[in-house]
Amino acid sequence: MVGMARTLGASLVALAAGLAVTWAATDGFTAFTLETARRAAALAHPAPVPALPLRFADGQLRRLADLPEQWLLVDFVYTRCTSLCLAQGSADARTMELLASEAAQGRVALVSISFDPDHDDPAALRAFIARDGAAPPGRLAAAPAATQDVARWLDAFGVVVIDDGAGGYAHNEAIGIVDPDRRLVALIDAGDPEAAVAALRVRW
Amino acid sequence: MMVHLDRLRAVVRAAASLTRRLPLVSLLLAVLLLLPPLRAFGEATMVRQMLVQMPLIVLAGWCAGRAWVRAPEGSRAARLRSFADSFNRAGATGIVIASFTMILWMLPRSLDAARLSFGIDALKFASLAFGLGLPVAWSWVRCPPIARAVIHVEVIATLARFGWGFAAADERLCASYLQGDQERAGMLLVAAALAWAVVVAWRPLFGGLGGGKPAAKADRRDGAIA
Repeated sequence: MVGMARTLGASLVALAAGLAVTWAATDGFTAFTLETARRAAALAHPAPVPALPLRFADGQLRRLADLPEQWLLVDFVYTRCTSLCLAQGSADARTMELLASEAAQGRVALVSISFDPDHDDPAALRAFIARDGAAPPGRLAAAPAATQDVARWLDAFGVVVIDDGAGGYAHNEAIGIVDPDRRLVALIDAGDPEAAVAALRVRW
Repeated sequence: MMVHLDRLRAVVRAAASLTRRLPLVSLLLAVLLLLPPLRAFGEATMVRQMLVQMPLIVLAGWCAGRAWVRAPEGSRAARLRSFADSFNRAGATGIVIASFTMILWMLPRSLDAARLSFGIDALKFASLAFGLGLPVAWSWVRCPPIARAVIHVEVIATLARFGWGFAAADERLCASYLQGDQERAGMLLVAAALAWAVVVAWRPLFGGLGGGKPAAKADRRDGAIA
C-alpha cells in the first residue's frame, strides 16, 4: 500500500504543479491569448515607450517625448495597406473628430507609427494622414528613423507583424494610450474610437 | 552477386541497429527540429506547429519512454524506473502530468509564445517530449482498461473542443497566425478527434483487423528494444 500512498501524493503534487503553471501562464486563468495578455500588462504595469527618434511626416526627427501634446494615441500602420487598414483609417478619422476640440488646444495627438520605414518616407506619411484633404490638427504620422529600431517599437507596444500571404502584412491592431510621462498605459480596440476616447477622457 | 548480398545485409543490419536506437534517433530529430531553419519551417503556420511539429516532438518523447519502460532488468534505467513506478500506480501521476502539458500547449497564447521566443520554444520541446510523450509511454501500460477509455474520451474531447474553438472564432486568436490558417488548424483538430474516435471504437465495435490484443502486447517487458 506504500505505492498507493506515494501515487496519491505524487498525483496531488502533479495536479498542484499543473494548476500553478497554468495559472502563471494565463495570468490567473484570465489571459488565454497574447492580445488579452498585452492589454492587461499595459494596464497593470505601464512601461515607458522607446526614446528612439522617429521621422515625422514633416521630415523632422523627434522622439515621442519631444511632442508638446500631453496625451498621445498611438497606432501602428504601413501606408501601402489597402485592406483592413482602410477600416483603421476611417476609425482614426472618427477618433480625430471626437477629439477635435482637445486636439485643437494641443492636448492630444494621434500618432500613426509605420513599421515599414523603408517605404514610408515623409511624403508617403503625409499622403497617408491627409487622405481626406488636409491632416487635422493633432494628426501625426512617423516612421522609425532607423530600420533596425522597428522591432523595438513593435516589442514595446506588443505588436506582431506577419506576412498576410498577399504581398502585405497582418498585425494585431490596437490603439495605445500614452500618458504625459510617455508611458503606455492602455491598449484599446482599434476599431472602437468611442472606447479609445472614453478611455482617454477618464484619465485626464 | 555476393557483394550485393553483403551490402544488403549491411543495410539491413544498419536499419536494425537504427530501430534499436529509435529513442535516441527520435530525440535527435526533436533537437534538429529546434534548429532555426527547421524551427521556422515547423512553426510558419498554425497547422504545421499544432499538427506536425508538436506531434513529432511528442512521438520522440514517447519513443524515449518506451525504451525506459523496456530497459533490461538490472540496468540503471530499470532501477530508476521501478523506483519511479512506486509513485505512478495505475499510471495516475504520469497521466495527470501529460494532461496538463497537452492542454497548456494548445492555448493560443502558448502557440504565440513558442513562435515568438526561442527560450519558451525550447521549454515547449522539453515539456512535450518529457512531460507528455514520455509519461504517456510510461503510464499507459500501467493504466487499467477503464482508465484508458476515460483518457481516450478526454483526448477526443480536448482535440474537438480546441479545434472547434479555433475554427469558430471570428477573430485571430494568435498574433502570429492568419485567420484562415487558424480555421484550417481548427478543422484539422476536429478531424483528428473524429479519426481518433473511429480508431479507438473500431475494435470493440467491429473486431480487430488481425493483430493481437493490444493490452497484452503492451504489458510485455522483455527488453526487446534497448
